[in-house]
Amino acid sequence: MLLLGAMVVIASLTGVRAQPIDLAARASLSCEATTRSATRATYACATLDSVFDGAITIVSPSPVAFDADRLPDLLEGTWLFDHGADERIEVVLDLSSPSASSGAVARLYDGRTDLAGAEDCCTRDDLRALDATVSVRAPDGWRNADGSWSTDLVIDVDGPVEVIFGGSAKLSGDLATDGHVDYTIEVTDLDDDGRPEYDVRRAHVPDAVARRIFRSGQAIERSAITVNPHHDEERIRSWIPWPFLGPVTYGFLTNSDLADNYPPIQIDWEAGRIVTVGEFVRSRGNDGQWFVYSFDELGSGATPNELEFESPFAFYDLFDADIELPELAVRMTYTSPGSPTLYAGGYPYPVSGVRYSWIQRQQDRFRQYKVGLLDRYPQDDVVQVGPYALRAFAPYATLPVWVTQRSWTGATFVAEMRPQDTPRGLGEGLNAWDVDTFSRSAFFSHVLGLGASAKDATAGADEIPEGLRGEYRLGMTAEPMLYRSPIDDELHLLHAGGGVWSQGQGDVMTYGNLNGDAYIDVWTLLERRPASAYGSATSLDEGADGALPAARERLYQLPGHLVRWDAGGLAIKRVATRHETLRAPPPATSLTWSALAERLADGDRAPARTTAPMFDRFEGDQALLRGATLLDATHLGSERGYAFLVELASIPAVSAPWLPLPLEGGRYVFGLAADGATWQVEPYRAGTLHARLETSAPTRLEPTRARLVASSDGPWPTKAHATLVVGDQPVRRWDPLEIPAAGRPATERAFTWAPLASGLQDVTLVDDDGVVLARLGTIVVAEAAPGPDRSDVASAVLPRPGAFVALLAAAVLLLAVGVNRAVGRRAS
Amino acid sequence: MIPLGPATHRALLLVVAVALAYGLATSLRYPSPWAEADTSYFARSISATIDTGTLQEPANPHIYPQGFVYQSWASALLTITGVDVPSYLRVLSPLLGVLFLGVAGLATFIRLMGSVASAVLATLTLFLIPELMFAVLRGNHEKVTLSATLIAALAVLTVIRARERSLPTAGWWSVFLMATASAVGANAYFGSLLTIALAIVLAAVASIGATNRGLAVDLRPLYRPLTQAVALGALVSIAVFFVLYPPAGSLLRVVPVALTGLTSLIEGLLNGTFSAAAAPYAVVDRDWASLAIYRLLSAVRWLLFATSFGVWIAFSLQSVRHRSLRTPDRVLALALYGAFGLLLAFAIPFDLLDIDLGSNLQVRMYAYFAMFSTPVFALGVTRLYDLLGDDARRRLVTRAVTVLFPVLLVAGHLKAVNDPLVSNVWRFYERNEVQAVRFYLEHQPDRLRTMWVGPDRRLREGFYATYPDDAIELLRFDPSGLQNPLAINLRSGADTTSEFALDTANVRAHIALLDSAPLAEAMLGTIVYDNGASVIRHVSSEAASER
Repeated sequence: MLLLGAMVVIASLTGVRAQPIDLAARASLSCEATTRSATRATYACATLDSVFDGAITIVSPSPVAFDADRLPDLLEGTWLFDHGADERIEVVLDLSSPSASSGAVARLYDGRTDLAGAEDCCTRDDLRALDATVSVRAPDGWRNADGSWSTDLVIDVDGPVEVIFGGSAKLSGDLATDGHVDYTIEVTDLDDDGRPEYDVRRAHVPDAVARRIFRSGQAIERSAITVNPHHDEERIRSWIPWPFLGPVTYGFLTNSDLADNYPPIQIDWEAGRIVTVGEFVRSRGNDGQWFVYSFDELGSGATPNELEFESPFAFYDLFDADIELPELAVRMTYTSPGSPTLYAGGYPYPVSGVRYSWIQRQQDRFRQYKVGLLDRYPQDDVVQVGPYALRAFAPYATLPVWVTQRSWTGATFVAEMRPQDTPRGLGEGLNAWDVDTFSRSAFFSHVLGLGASAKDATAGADEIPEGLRGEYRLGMTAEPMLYRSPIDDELHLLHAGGGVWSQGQGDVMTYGNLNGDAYIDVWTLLERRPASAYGSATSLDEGADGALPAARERLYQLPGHLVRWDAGGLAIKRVATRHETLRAPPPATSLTWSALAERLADGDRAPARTTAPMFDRFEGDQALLRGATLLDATHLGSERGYAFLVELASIPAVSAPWLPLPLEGGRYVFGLAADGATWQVEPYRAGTLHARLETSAPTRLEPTRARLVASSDGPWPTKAHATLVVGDQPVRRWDPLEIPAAGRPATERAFTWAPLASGLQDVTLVDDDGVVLARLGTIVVAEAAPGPDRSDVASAVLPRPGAFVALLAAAVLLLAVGVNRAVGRRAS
Repeated sequence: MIPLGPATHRALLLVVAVALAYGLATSLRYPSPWAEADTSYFARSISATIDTGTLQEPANPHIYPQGFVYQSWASALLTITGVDVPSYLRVLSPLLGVLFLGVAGLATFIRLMGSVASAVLATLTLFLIPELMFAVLRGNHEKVTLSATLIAALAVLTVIRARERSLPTAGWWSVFLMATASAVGANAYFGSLLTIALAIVLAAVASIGATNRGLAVDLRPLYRPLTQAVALGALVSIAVFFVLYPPAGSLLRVVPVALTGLTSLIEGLLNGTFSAAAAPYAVVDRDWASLAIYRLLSAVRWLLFATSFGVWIAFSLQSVRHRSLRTPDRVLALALYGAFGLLLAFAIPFDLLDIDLGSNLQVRMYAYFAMFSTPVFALGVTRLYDLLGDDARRRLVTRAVTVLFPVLLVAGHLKAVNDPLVSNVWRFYERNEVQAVRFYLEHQPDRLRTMWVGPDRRLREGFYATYPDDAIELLRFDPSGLQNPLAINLRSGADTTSEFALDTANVRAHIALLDSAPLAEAMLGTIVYDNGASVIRHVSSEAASER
């Protein structure tokens, strides 16, 4: 049963819909009295699905007229639940009203093996001697003035009960029903209508326990706050006359698939345990609420609480107020400056991360998108939840605008590529390529300036779950902005450096930005990869020879042209294309959401899985070079345009006056001017590598700075796996060393190096097979000066040896005396 | 049961004085602290025990799987006294180690040898053995296991003596139980050695008694107390292994490995195909700059071994041929020497087979063997003295020993703590160096990058020992498989994989002194941290991106 509950939770979190539990059947209880007296009655009761099937005994402190087939509305007395009618009481509910001032109190006891059977159990004094697992106090009584159930409640939980999501698993072994309150829940109904607005939970975890769990690599959520600003929480459906205890074990979350609000105190009847005190205010099951889960303790003082972790996680209704599914989920993660959870407290800045997921209507279908954002914004605002002041990025209502109208240093974008016919629950949104996990956190490290290189930061850019497309933006700080490309009619992240779409069955399309501007301009359908290759760290940005990765198709969007290559050949089409057909930030309001939906409806079509439909949808003058092979492509700069290295198997039979084609087969460089006006085709010739080593006064064993300068007189940039060798010493290997085409600035690689041998040394650049790529002349390495002596170190470490020598001398003297006397005594 | 006259008091005073001087000399050898692998491990283990108040995983993130007594005792001591862990390891621990060994040795040897003067000679000989002294000077459990082993042996000897005189023995059995439990609890394997040695002694005594009935001494009174001691010791070991401290049970996993290895070794030796899986003696070449000086400083080991072995052979043969052994004590002194010698011999194949029971089992076992060889050595010296006829010769021997012992003491002390003069394994470190390490770990960008901290473990262990709490905290996400963020590179000097490098005068000197080692290339990287004496350098981002 717990497993089932966990599955529902997991399903709700991942957005996967599990087979729903028939909660209505479970909540319907039919009872029939078996014994009745003035103060005690026992009923045989069962839910429709027999999750509870047993005896309920009610003991009243004063005479009551018990009905034969209906449980009494008794709120002063003791309820004994005996699932299975086996004379073993699983749960005891003791309801009382000690005084008018203290309100009404319910105490729940579970897992007791020391209680007598229902016949003799239990006097109130018996129960008061025990520690209650859950105590519910309603300061103003159980009922509101309008007759609804009061949800102004204070609840103490003492024992291994799930109160904060995931908490009991982490605290396994630390929680027991021992008289020490482990959790406190404060439920607040501001307008006394039975629909609570706040659910504030605090875990009272000893510091030593929290430290231990932290050391094991986890952290305990000590605070959980859920707020319903729309005042529209569902009223709890009651099962027995006291509404907060239910037969349904749906788990901790009242998730978005369960609109009905079932009683939150949940029992595992087979085990006889209270397993969960669920949410009184739904954290996810509504479309207008927000919550905070934090590792920090919540204080009620004047100083606002700075709460780390999910702070907040907010859900919004952007479409169709009649259904309770949120269309927008904004998960803000916050780490305070110097937080121990980040680099052991060594990072002195705040870290703010965003998962901004929304469901977007496109014509009559729905797709989910996500923008992941990362920067160092502090929480400058303050919001009030009852007596608790919380630091916040922005109030709930304006948070989406705050996110989308702000510049962020790191950004990712993820799109569902399989539209849905009906909107699904968001769950917690798309978690793929979250900014803190994308590329195994190197992205995070790079964006925050913590050392990871840009190359490392995108090393995971080929790994994304099937059906999703991801793009990343690095190297600039800007507002999150999307545009729609006319080539594939898809939304893309403006200024994306690249991306990938895992289509399934081994088909992968990658996205490139050849000229480094704001737009995707290369679509590559890769050679089909075996399914087992999914998730591997195989890099897509280089093939085995350092050139382009193996591909089936490529499509380039160039000034005034589309260029497409596949096994059939190379097609060049003169077309007038734009870079974008719309530009918009992620929607933050119903208005912008609807506007985007409207603009997307125009020309929306199913995502193209290959490049042919993208190419074919544009009309233009076309040259098809059959059998041509595209070997490489490069951007030569904003003035020189683009170049393609093409292998022509034969003389192409095309008539395109704007394309000056050669008269024989071979390898050619096709150059397109920067303005797209003209093509130039010239035969490819291998260039000669020119390289030199710049260094000054190298000395054996002394690190020295040096610089390799490499250029070529060939028309095409090349790459080589090159190793610099000085004498016999391999000094450095570049994998690859990029050598520019003639006329381009030479490649310069600075490095530090310590020569191993002195004297005249030959310098060469060789490939991995030892073939000399270039001879760089000779250098003279001077002999090293003698190094420090051990005695130098010893004298530095032991500058004043007096005490040491004196004590050792004392030991020696004493030893000599002792030995002398010990041996001498034998003589005497 | 131990003579407590003025001679014993004077002997105790002398031993305590020598121990204090020796221990303090070690503590003050450098103005800077020192650390090695076990010291730093126990620094973290003691610190975690104090912090968590438990010896159990996972609450305690740094247990010592082979035992629990030392860190419990040390954490209690430090909690009561308020002394911090690094100070304890640097100053108190060496002092306590030498004191425990000296006092326990004196008490045991008086009982074993029956003469305070001989016992003093044997006890002072302990201070000459560098391997033994290093074991008690450093910050690990061995000061407890070694001294508790001596006290347990004392208890057995006293029980035997008490039974001869029909005196009550319960008190000494209690001492035996407590001492054995302390030793086994501190280290389940080494703490069990005395029980194994006593079992060997029992077997030897029983077989000699059965086959050589004409001995001058009646060995039968030894049977029962030895049997009881072995049984009690085995019970204690079993209780620790299986009940009190189950993590120690993991040691038993080595048993099938050892059996398989020994079988293959025997087969290999018979077939002539054996090749060692490890070269335990090669570390000497690596660790010492001068083999000649190493041999000189180690002279006492061979002197002690040769002398004691000669004496043991001579006395044993004499006892068999001439039935000259007249007291059970003398029998036990020889038998314990033989038993620990046998156990040391067993360690040789373990090391050759590279079976993990502590790094270099022979070195670890030698400490226990050496402890029981000093009485035999002292027996030999006094016997030689007795054999000399005239006083002139005896005075000559007395003077020779009076000169030789101090020389050997200085040599032994130098061998234990001579770095950086001759040893390549440096243990000293300076505060500014470990501060730099701490800064790096607190600010490390992620676990994909490492900082090179020199050619050996000096600064790793120094950091662990100085900041044990931080070491646990900062390295908590260091499950096996992830690389240690503090990279070391033995002998080659140049580390090509670390993105950061620690640059200190000592690191530079260490590299320069090791043969053919260029300075690390990273040492010309950009300075990203400087505390005035230690610098952290960052390899150029270009070089990093080329990898």
